[in-house]
Amino acid sequence: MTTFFDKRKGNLRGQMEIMGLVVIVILISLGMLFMVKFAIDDDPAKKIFTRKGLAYSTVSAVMKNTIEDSTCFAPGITTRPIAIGSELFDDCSLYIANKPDDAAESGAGFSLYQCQGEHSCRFLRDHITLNLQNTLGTWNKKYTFESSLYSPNNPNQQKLTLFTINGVKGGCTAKATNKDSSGIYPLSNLQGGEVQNILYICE
Amino acid sequence: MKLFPINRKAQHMTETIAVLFIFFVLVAFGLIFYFKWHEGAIKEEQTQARASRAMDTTLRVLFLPELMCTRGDAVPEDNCVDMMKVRSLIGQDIPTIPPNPAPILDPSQSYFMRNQQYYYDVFGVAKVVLHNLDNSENIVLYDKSLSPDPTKQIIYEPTYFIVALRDIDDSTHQSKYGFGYLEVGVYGEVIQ
Repeated sequence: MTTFFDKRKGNLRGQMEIMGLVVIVILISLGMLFMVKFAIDDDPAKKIFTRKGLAYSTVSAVMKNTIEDSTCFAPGITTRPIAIGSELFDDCSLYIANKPDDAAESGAGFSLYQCQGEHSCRFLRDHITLNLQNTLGTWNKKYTFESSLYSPNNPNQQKLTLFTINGVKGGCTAKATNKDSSGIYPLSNLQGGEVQNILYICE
Repeated sequence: MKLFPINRKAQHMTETIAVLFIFFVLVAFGLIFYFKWHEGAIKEEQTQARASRAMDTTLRVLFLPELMCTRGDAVPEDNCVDMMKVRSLIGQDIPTIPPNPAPILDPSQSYFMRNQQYYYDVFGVAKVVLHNLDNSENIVLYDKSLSPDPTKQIIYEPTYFIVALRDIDDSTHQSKYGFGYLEVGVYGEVIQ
């Protein structure tokens, strides 16, 4: 026959076991918290700063860059050196319709400025590709440079891609994580259109 | 009669000892884990402090009036280095067509190193190199490393920023913009 005191003793033991379980649960929870903390690999501030700053400075430097190539000429234009931002991008956006197909071997097609016998868009693409490869490419960065035209002559106001450059290590897709951009670098052309340039850098 | 009578008190004590043993083993594991994590956290903090210093130094270099391009009444042009200023700062004329391989100019000749007492407050222990991609020239503007210590390992963390290099075209006397990049690296040390 169990007495009142025996019952009480049994309850106390039950409480102690529950306490033990609580301690184990707390310890496991702490362990899980630590694991979660290590598992979440946050992007350090320096990486973000470097990506954003690098993207912006790159586009800025690309647009300021000038060409001294003696094979670059335009009828009636004698000024040297030729500015990429104000002259070649302008020309490329005005004569984009004559741009040869990217797959075509010959890059010639009518544009006011001709460099190395190529259409200004084609020359720009090759020149910027080389500069980006010599810098971002050698630092093993993935990047995408996009140049698009928004023209008032286009009734739908849809953008027209002048060219896109992807890094040797790969480009930045829409789904890419740890991606930062230079922000849009706009240039207005002689027909009132706007050339928008943007560079994405991702890990 | 049982051969070994069960001593309930002794059994209870064995159970308690076993539970306490497991508890202390868990606590010991926890402590080992915590100290390992703490060691890693200190290293991480050091890395972040170095990264923060790298960012500060990079910004200072990018906006340094001694290097920055200006227009008109000293209106600054961002992401641009004036090569005429650079030539003046390193105290010698850089040849237009450099010998191959391109020389790495002696940083001790640079204006920043000659006025090291002042620029140490600006850059600290760091290295600033200007790379001109048009003529493969590397100009060391400032280089102040840590004094070597056999017990510590020196770490160099570079940050790169692409800049336009403004110069004057020899034939047309107009401004031209080359393509290059600034390498701003900071030195740090870790105990080996």
